[in-house]
Amino acid sequence: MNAGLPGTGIGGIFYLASALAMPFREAYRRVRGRSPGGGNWRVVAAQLAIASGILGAMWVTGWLLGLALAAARPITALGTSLPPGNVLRTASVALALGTLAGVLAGVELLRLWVHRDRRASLPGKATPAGRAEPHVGQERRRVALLLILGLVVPDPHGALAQSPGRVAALLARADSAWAARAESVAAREYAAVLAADPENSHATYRLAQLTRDDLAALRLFQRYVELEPEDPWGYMAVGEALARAGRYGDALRSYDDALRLAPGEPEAIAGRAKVFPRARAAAPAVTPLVSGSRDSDGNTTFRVGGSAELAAQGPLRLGVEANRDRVTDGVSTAWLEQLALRAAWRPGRLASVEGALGGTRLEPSDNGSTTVVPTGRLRARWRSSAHGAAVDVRAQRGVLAASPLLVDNRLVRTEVRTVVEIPVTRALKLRGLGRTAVLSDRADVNHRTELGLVLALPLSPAIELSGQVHQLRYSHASTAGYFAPRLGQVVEAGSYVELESPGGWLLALDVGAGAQRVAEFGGQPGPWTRSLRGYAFITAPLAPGRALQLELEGEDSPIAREAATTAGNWRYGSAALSLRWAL
Amino acid sequence: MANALRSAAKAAAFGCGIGASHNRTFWGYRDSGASVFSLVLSFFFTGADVTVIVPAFNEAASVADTIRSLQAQTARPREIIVVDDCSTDGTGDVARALGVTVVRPPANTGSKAGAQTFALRYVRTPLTIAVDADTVLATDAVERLLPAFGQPRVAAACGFVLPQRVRSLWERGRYVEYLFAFTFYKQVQEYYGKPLISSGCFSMYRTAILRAQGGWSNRTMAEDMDLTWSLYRAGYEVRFVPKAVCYPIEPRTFRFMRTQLQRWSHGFVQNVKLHWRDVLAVPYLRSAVAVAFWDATVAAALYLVALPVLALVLASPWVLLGYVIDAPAVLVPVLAGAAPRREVGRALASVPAFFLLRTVNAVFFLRAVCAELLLGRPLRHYKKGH
Repeated sequence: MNAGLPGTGIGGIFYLASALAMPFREAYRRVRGRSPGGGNWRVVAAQLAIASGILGAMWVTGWLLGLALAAARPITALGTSLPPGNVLRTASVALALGTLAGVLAGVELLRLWVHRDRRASLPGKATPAGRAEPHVGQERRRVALLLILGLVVPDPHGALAQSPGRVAALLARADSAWAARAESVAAREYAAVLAADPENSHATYRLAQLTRDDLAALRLFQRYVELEPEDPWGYMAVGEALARAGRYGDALRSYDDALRLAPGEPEAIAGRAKVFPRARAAAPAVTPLVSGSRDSDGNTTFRVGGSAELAAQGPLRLGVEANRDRVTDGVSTAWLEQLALRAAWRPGRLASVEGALGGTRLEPSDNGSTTVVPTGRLRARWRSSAHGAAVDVRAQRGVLAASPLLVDNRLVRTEVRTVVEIPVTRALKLRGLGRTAVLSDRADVNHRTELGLVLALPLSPAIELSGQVHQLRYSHASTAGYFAPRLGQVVEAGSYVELESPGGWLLALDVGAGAQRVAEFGGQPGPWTRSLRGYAFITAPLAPGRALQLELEGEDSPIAREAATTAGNWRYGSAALSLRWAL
Repeated sequence: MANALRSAAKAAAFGCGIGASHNRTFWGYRDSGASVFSLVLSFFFTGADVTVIVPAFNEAASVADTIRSLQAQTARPREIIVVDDCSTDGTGDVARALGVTVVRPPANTGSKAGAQTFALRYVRTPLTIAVDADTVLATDAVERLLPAFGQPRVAAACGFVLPQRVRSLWERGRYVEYLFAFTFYKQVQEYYGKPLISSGCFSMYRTAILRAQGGWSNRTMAEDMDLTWSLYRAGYEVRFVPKAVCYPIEPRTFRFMRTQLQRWSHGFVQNVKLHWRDVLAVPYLRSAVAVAFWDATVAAALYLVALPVLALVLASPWVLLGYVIDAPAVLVPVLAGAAPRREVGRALASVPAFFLLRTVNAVFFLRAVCAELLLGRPLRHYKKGH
């Protein structure tokens, strides 16, 4: 079988590079005395000859193509003085090598990410603070690691070659330690049992129970299920471990497996009941939405639309969103229709990637021709630990549609935003914000940059106070319908509160108050004036998997953070109501 | 020959593996404790210490050729077991008439993996070969594979694959694909110690390790890839021996080709899903799988969509030349593989078919990725093709 596209694709480049590297590797192995002998050099020479032939063929192809293109149409428009063949060769080789390097680097990063727990649990690493039994926990992690490694790379001359009597003795010692609640000793003894007999299901289960590393425990329970597929308790344990990992759908399936084997088992029923609402909450859902907004310039928007998650596969979720917007200023009215495919991937509790790609169709108010603008967004978030450093990177391209004039001018904003959070102490966090945007309309391209610094004081996991300063700049003034000062400065105090009731009600409140001042092009900064903003998000649970969501937003400030304004001193309010209905 | 024999004996002597403690006995010696002398002696009198498993479901038309090619080996296997997987065309009778052992499971096992694993219980030799019932071997193929097992950590070895018949469009495409892949890709993989797959149509395994792995699993549609990656995960080595050649019958028509490509493409994605964490821990293999997965997904999508779109946008059909732009580069390993076989003319005549097969291949891989990863519709039913 050949996966992919033999010849084309980065596979060809990969094997070409591998073949070209063979002489160097062979020479190194020869120097280190690891090469088996002359036979390998024959293989190396043969593959090197093939690789050289391929390189020659690529060069000739590029040269001929360049000649053909030059004969057909001069491509001086490419803006280079290089001969056309060189341009093509250089561009294609750079693209192929860059893609290959990206894929290989990506897989290495993924490897580091996936195996981070094993690395973190190596002896000598610091144990996270706050753990009740640091030494015991660390030891358990180490034992679990060694066990997993032992399962993955068994010694063919060791493992099962141990005598059954020795295994039984080890198991008896481990069970005694378990009965005596000497957990660290029990973990060590069960690991020893598994080293001698990797298929000992009893030791596998017990060690999984003793392991505090969620991932290692999950793997051990899954291993137990492999060994004892008829035992419902294995599925229950897997279900519980999966639920702890946030994989509620998989957890639900495990409980279902357990109930198939043991119908009416109270523990399975209780576990399933506990996971079910969360699985529903995380399940694919449709979310219809209506929203509206009004600002002090008299612009009103009204949106009808919604989103749907079409498929969920483990941590990957795919969906679609569609909206229709009406934007009016009382005199003229413009329309927008947005359609996008979206995806969200949550590889772990501390990282997520989400994105959307689609288009926005603009119907200007001046009866001009409709236009479709490609739009999309990509957001990646990562946090090193629950209270550790965090990075949030967003890139997006969207239409600014705060007023019909902006729609008529087809104002499109392409923006990259990065937030880096560093915990200074356990009670103080520092956030740096960088934001750069290109605003392009039918006649002009403008640039907006913003830098900000936030000092946050988390009073509890749900309440945070903050003080922040921001400064933004535009490259020049605009007549496209948005306010573009030379300089804007913001000083603000804010707070964020998140309250959740046992019944599933959620209230998130983000408010800020401060002062702003603005300097227009050709002028000095004006006086500091008041600025207020507020945002609220309320979730009201209706039934498992169904919730009504209300978002409210208001702003009173000279310069807007998100939307465009026609002038300073802007007031804005919006409300959005949506119903999330899990399928 | 003598070297091969020595290596085979050594391989078997070291081949205690995980199952060594079971101390199975056969022909008066233990798997794990056989002396070199006894193995050499047994080879001269009864053939190589190897059992061949031939899974067969309605293969009456081709199984005889397979058995004859096994019986004509320079290192003749000790036993040939044909698994008549409840065939209805007399496959078992054909095999029996040729004097080989025929076993029949109580019911159809549903897959090649099932049939092979069923037969594993009858194997009493330290080495096991799996050969498809539509595959014939070069007369020295078994002998060529044996030396690979001179290294105790080698758990599997496979050979060079070439289509038995090169007549139809699809057979020609597959012929060039195999020449390209086995002359270049697989040899590079072998040099770095990580052949991507020990081919299911002809591979040799250390029996004890094979048993420890539970035989061939039917949890994916590509049991050979599943087993190969499981062996890597367990720390064993897999070898590719280019001089051990086998000739399977490849799909002659698109109907058969579709079935095979469906199975292979879904099997690849299923194995990536199943093994990705473990593959990440295996150097070189992780890179090879990553680029293969990239080419099967992103590159396939670009290949199928970007070129036509670009041709439309630029209003230039010349852009479609992109589909064959790498023809000279592809030709180099293909001709390097064909020349020693004196098949240059055949290879050149078959090259156009390769590009068609590659495009079809891209479609099937893309569909498999969508079905397996995005839509959650895994292929579970094993459909027999060729």
